Amino acid sequence: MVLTLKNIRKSFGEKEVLKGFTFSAESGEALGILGRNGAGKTTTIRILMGVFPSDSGEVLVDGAPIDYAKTGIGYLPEERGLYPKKKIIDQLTYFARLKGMEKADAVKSIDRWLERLGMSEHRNHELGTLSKGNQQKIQLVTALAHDPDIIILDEPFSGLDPVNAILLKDVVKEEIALGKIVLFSSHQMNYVEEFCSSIVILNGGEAVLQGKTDEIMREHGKNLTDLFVEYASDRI
Amino acid sequence: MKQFKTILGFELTNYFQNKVFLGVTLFLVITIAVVTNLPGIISAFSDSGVFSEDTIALTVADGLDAEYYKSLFSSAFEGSRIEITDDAEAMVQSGDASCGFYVDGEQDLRYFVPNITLTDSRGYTALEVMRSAAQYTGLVKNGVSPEDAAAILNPEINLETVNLGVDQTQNYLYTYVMVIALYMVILIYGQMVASAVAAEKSSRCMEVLITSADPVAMMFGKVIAAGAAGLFQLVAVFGSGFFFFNLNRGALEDIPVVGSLFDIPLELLIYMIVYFILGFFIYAFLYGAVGSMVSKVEEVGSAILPVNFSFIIVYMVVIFSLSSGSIDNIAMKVCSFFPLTSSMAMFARIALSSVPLWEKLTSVAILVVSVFGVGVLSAKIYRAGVLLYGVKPTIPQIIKALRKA
Repeated sequence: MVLTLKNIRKSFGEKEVLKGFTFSAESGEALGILGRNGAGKTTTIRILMGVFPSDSGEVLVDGAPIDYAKTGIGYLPEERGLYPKKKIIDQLTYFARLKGMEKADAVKSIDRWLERLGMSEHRNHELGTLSKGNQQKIQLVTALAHDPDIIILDEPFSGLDPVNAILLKDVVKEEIALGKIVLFSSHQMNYVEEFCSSIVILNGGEAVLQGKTDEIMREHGKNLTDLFVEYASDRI
Repeated sequence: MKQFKTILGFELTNYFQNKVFLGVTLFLVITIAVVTNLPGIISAFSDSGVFSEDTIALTVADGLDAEYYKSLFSSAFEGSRIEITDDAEAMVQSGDASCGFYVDGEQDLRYFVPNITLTDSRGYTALEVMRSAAQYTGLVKNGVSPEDAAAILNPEINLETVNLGVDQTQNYLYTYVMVIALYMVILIYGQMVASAVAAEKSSRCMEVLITSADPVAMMFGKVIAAGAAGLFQLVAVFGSGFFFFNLNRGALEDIPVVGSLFDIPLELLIYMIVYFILGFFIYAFLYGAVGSMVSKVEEVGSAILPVNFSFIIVYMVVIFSLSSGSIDNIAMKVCSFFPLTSSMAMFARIALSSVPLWEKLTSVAILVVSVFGVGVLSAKIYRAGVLLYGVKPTIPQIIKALRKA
């Protein structure tokens, strides 16, 4: 599967947020979408997920316009939060069913993920009783339980302790190995370097640098942090 | 459709797992059980002497026929026991009588009362008794026979009422109950919808929701769930009321207010349900849209004020028209077609006046179309509103966002 965002333009009022942004990602690879705050990453994600339409441009899957009924998307937003007063299993089932799963399948999948993330004991607890890091792991289940084809992770490591960070790293690697397309947005360049075979740096609403991560670094003779500072900083 | 069902199910479960919601419903049902059983409870206690019949003390001066005055007072104060005593004032003071009278002469009366209440009219009733008695005695003294005197003072007049429309005295109560119930349900549940949307937004749960579900399904699911929860509470309250009424029918039937409340004509009941559901939905959608435009739950109160105000004004117009008796005034006629006001205004007119069928159908049709229109519009505001954080958007910004949505 190849996901392509082609020439995406989007304005909010007078402000043009995306000015013909183009990138593509393939199954079994992670693409790092990098950019400073306000560069247009969240707008890109929302257009990709169909929350609002772009002014022009296309979202394509294998060359055809995306069909959300066929292409599942999982999303871990940067701004996290679920229902603090609801039982974890109840709300996770709700979100999985909103994504089209049958209840029994949803519960089975959620239980598997809770087990994988070491959260089974909290299955019947209210979300608000958990620590921030554990709440984040629960939120990760909302992005993965329905076995999506495309997984969008926005700053997935922020707020996690080192043990949980290793657990999440393993999970992401497994998903990539399973042939998922992972879109990864983060300011922690060590993680980007570790997962993302390709990157795209977004600045002022357009891609200013993109390609295979190792090739780019070799070509420029710089690490990702230096490249980010060079390419992401001057146009906003 | 599948998403809508999932959302509806989830939201309904939220209401039915809410301890406050269940507690309030249970409290209302228990209150109704107690109130409807009150006559039985009172009579059980009165047998044992805890509650006693209302007693009025009567002292009649020497030379006057005490029994005659007792019979006059007895018929004037139906339901009270008239007790002849030497000292009515002392009986009132000791609390043995709720009030007392001293008939000092044919034209002299003293009224003893522990406290004069706002609604106390017993002094005037007694005055009327004394006046009739004096007139009667005067006529008899002037040579009129007692039978003729009674006939002169109480001429028999036949009144025949031919009702060409509806009976306002009977329907007044349903209208009042329906208008107040609608008012409460809209204010309570409408605000719950607004708060629930704002809470999802402030907890950032919205980020996941909006990328998982269609906003139209979200809005309709939430609003219909709130409507169903409100309706459930009303059915529980009125259903238990009806059940306990039948259980205590013997004791309650004599109370005209209670008797007529459960005797609502079928046609009126159908209009009541139709207007109730549609009236609730149109406001709940508005509340939902407003809830989506604030960032924090604390801001809901001030944001919904314009909706509350417009709604309270409608409520006032209907209540004033109800009490003034001129239910078909021009304000009510206009209100009975305008979708935000027709649920209350048209129902009141149908119940209390003769409204042509075409007017009823037009009003319902406008309301149905408006409910769907406002529903879809609210979903669009919701879609645009839920992603706006920080400063509350201005009206032009909302309109701009709507055009894009």
